[in-house]
Amino acid sequence: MEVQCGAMETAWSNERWLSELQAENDVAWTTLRGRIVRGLRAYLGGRGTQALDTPTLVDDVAQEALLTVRSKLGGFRGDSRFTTWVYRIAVNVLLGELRRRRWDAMRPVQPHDQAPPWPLEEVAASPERQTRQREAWSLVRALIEGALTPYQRQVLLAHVFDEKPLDLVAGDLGVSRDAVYKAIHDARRKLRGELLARGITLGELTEVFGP
Amino acid sequence: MKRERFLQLLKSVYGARDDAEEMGCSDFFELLPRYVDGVLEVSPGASTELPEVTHHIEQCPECAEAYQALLEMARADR
Repeated sequence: MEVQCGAMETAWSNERWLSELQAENDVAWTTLRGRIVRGLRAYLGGRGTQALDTPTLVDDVAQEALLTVRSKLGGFRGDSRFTTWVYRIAVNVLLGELRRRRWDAMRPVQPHDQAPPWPLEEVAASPERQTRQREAWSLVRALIEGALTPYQRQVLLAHVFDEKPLDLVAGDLGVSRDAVYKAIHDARRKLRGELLARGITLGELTEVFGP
Repeated sequence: MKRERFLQLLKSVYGARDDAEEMGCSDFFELLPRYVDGVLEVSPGASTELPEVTHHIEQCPECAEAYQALLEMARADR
């Protein structure tokens, strides 16, 4: 059914999609599901997510995405292709699941409660460069510890240094993802202001820490 | 932390704008389909009309990942 309808529905207008789906046209829903599955496979096919993948991942994500589409159908504003709007929902479901699995697989035993003594996995080759990097990081670290509010520092450490997904940080704190993003944004602005007040530019830090 | 991620952190610190110019993730997701269609030229000009979406992609690695995923899904559908 999906293959037979594929060529026909690629030309459907947004209005056609909406009317067919709202009329509970089984062919339309089945076709939409097929399009989501095809798109998810196209995206995952180019990535090394096999370790986090399961045989039912794509089907499970497509099913959850369709449930969300059904509940939000009336909210489609028509300022994009209908299918792009649907794929955005599927992308949110997929990435949320992959991030949760990634976090479960690599969560730190000891989450950061302060900025680390050294942030990078590697150390510079030359002693002179090592010294410059350690001096620069020492300043940035002191600003993270001293210039940010405890809340700003907490979310920055969790998301940036522990690499905890935004949605999970938000869930732990009982706030929205937007609230977490805002706190990180505020932390960045504070750090930028403090660094610029000391005459330190992005170009200098990039030169010190860059390859 | 990998160097690339650390450099991205530094870039986002210096790229942080005033509150009024900074879009949150929810607003970003609302505009993302229109933006992607613009990039793929279904709606010519849509992406260039939404510079705040471009900025958010630069500031938020998770949303940048969502943008890339949606772009690839939508492109595979053309």
